[in-house]
Formats: sequence, structure tokens, C-alpha cells
Amino acid sequence: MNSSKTRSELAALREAALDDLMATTDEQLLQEAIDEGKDLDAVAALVGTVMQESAAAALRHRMVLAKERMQSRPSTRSPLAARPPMEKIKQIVQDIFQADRDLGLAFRGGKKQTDDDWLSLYDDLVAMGAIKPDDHDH
Amino acid sequence: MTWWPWEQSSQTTMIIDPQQISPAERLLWNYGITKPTQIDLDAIANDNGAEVKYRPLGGCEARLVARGDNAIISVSSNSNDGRQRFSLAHELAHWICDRKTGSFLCAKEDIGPQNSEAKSVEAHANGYASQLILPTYLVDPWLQGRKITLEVAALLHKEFNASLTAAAIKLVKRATGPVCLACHSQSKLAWHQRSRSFPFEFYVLSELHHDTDAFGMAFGGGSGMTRPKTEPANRWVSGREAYRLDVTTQSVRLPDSTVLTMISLGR
Repeated sequence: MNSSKTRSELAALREAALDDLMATTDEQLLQEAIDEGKDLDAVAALVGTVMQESAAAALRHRMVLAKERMQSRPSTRSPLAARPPMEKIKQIVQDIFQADRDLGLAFRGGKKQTDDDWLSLYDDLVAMGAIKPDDHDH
Repeated sequence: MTWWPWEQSSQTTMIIDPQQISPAERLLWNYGITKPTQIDLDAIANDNGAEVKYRPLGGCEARLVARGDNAIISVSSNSNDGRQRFSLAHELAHWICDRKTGSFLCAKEDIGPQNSEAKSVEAHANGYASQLILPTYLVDPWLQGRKITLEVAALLHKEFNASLTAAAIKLVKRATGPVCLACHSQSKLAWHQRSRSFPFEFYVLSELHHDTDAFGMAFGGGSGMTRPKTEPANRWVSGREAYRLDVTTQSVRLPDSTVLTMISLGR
């Protein structure tokens, strides 16, 4: 009970102090700081640093959220049993790149795809919804 | 690039004009990145709709599969950390820069850059990737007061989680003095990178001189990094009056058995 009363009194005090601050002009605030002998350039630099770091931290948090979102997605890897035979996979993959103009593919340091590469490419295309395994006979 | 001075206070403030930095640096800056340890390429890929998978790839270092606003970037799990990171940055560059134009698309079985346009796109992606890993706006302040040596390159490599070679190339590109980075195999000069002030009339010799530490490393198989050594310039470069000059050199043997040497031209 006492604690609740103290909290409400503190809140009222804080509100009054904020009202007082908002009612004070910039010139008055500046004069008060000068009267107290504060280094205004140092204060301004510190405020700038704190604000910039807060803004940067908020931007970085976006990366954290994006990573969490991606990691929370269900695994989309096709079970081995669901894959068609290798030659069929190669045909399906080649056909889908001919038919779907939204699809793109790039390689770095590439020479030739191995069968395992074809399999993982097929898995990716299934995961992205470009290939629907049910549409193909196994 | 225009630089504002760093303000020293209880914390360090970095003030950068986003219009004056490269597109890759701007991307990092817009993610609030002010320290190298904050560069999380996986997270940046994720935020741009690309999932990143580390998996065995038999035929390439990395692969980008894109469909609409989504992509899967696969990076070879068999490669070392530095190469994986560069490969991810390279594919991320394609995804961010080229997806609107479709210029990275190569949907056939022939999977290398086949013409000059494709090669230009690849070169651009490499430059973009380099800035994602070693952004100039973070590297330049880090370099202040440091010498251009392989030891410093090794520190840069650790600090920015880049390969030693990439770090050394960045150092030379940002150097104001006359330095050159040379990579030799036993039989030839594989590649070299000059600083802007390295004299154009000097050419790096195509073969290692037998009196250099690098020669011993290439043929004797020594490992580690040599100590900086002052020696006649004509062991390393040819050109007018090279025989009158000295160079300071430092070499390291790379995992592929080539030898990387930093050559600093003396007076």
C-alpha cells in the first residue's frame, strides 16, 4: 500500500518536473547551464554520441530480428525418399528454369555441377515453391 | 571520400556522409554498423529475403538461387572461413545489386562468366563484396598510425574476419606510400597489387630471386611470416635505377603454397 502510494507520488513529481522542463525555453535552459559552469560543447558531443549509438543499436536490432525470423522457419529440406531419380531431377530443374522467368541462378567459382549439387538445387527449388514434388511422377 | 574528424569524448562518435561512401558501405552504415564485429552478413542476407545455407558444394564455392523477392544462398562448407565469408558477400552483392536487372542470371549448365558483360558483373560483385567485409569507413580509422606491413595485415585479417590476402590487398589499396603486394608461385608471379604511389616504371619480377626469404619459403616449404628485411630493390623489381634503391620486404606462405610478399620502396 505504502509502496503504491510512493510510486504514485514519484510519478506525480516526475510529471510536474517534465511540465516545468517543457515550459522552460531553450534560452533559459542554456542560461541555466552556463550559470552552472557546464562545458556546453562537451554536453552537446555526449548527447550526440548517445543519440547516434541509440539509433545505430536500433538499426542493428533489425538484423537480429531478421536472423531470428529466418531461423524460426520450419526446415524445408526434401526427404530423400521424396526425390525423383537423378536424371529426372536434372530434367525437372532444367525445365523449370526455362518455364519460370522469375527464377535466377548464379554460381561463384563454378566449373560443373556434381550430382549432389543437382540434388541440393532441386531441394532449394522445392523449398522456394518453384517445384511442386507432387506434380512429378517418382 | 569526405571525412569528418572523429570526436573524442567518453565514447567515440563516427560521423559519415552516406552520400560519400560506396553502396556496400552505405548498406552497412544503414544497419548501424560502427565496428567490424557487428558485420553479420548472414543477418543482412536474411533481412533482404535471402536464406543462407552452409552445405557441401562439389562444383562451386557458392550458389544463389533466386525467385521473386526470395533467395537461397548456398556456401560451400568445405571452404575455409575467409573464403566462405567472401563467397557469401559476393552472392549477397548479386542479390542486392543485380536482381532487378537479372544480369547475374545464368540458368544453364555452363556456370562461369562467359562474356565481357558477365565478367564485368562479376568484377562489380567482387568489389562490392570486398567493401562489405573490409569497409573503407571502418578500415581507414583503424589504419591510422599503423604501418603498411604484413603483420598489420594479419591484425586486420583477424579484426575484420577477412582472409589474410584480402586484408593485405586492402592495406595496399589504402596506403599512401609506395608499396606493392606480390604473390608468387615457385615458377611465376601470380598477381600483384600496387599502391597509388608505387612508381609505374617499376615492374615486379616474374620470378623469385634466389636470395630472398620468399624463395626459401616457396621452395623449402617454410611456414610463418618472415621478419621485415631491407634488401636491394632489384631482387624484386625492374626499372630505371632500381639497382640504386632498397626495399623492405616481408613474406608469408599461403595455404595454396604461393608466397605473399609486401614490398615497401625505400629512398
